[in-house]
Amino acid sequence: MTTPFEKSTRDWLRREAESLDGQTRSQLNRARQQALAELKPRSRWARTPFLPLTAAAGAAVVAALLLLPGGTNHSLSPAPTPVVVIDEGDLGGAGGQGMFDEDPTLFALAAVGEAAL
Amino acid sequence: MSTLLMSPDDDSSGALAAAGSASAQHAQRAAMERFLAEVEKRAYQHALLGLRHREDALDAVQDAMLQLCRRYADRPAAEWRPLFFRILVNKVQDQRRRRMVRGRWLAWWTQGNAEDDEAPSDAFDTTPDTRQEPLRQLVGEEALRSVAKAVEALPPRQQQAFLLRNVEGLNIAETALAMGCSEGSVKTHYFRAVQALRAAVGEEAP
Repeated sequence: MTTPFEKSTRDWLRREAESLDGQTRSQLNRARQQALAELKPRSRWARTPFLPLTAAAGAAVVAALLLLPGGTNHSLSPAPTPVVVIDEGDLGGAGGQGMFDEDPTLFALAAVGEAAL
Repeated sequence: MSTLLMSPDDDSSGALAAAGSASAQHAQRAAMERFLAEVEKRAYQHALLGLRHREDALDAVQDAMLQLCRRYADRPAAEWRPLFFRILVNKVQDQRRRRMVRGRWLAWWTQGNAEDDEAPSDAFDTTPDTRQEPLRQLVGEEALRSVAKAVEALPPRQQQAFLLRNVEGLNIAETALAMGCSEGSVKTHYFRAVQALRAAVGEEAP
């Protein structure tokens, strides 16, 4: 609640504030324009309305991958060794260069054994 | 490459968003300019009554404007007024403190060098009043003169409470925010300020 005294003092002081000289008005105007020049345009990223949501969702996905049970094992376990199926025919090799062809001692012993029998 | 993948709808929505953002910035700048233009003269008066020095008062107002635009322009416009006066009150207080310190050093120096001379006890009290007072010169209202002088003579916190609450029209919560104190302190300072002003201008309380 405002008393008449408070109202009259307010009116007086406001009137005085409005009656500034031209030089002061001009300086205040310059100060205002300088201050307004400091209003920076916000960056394109800051203007993106869904940026915080996108960032939060991305962080949640990364956190889930790291924190879920076994989540880290997938990335840290060594790659499985590929299983190579070898056909028995391949052991003989092409052109008689197979494993058994290369051991003449074995064949000599076998021939001796057959002769003894 | 990415532009090739964008549909015309994406392009138009991006352009619309950019246009909307630009218009929002323009609106914010216009609102800030209106606010500063509306408040600057009373802010200057506030600083002048607190500092009693024209250039210092202008500096304080300019600093407060700059800080508001740099730091708080993104806040809702309803918060600008208490924030602006919070900054201004702090600037005025800082300036007064600097003068007090300077005054003490000056007093010590002058006492040490010239014992006979009367050293000023407080630079703030001895600062010449360099204001230009056009209304007082033109109108010559005795009442205005006495009220303005009485406001000038108030203790700083009472003066701030009176100017913010009565002249600027802030409510108690906003005044407390601007002064950096509790609402109870605002009420006390304001009450004492009104009492002191009544006594100074010789009006009886109702």
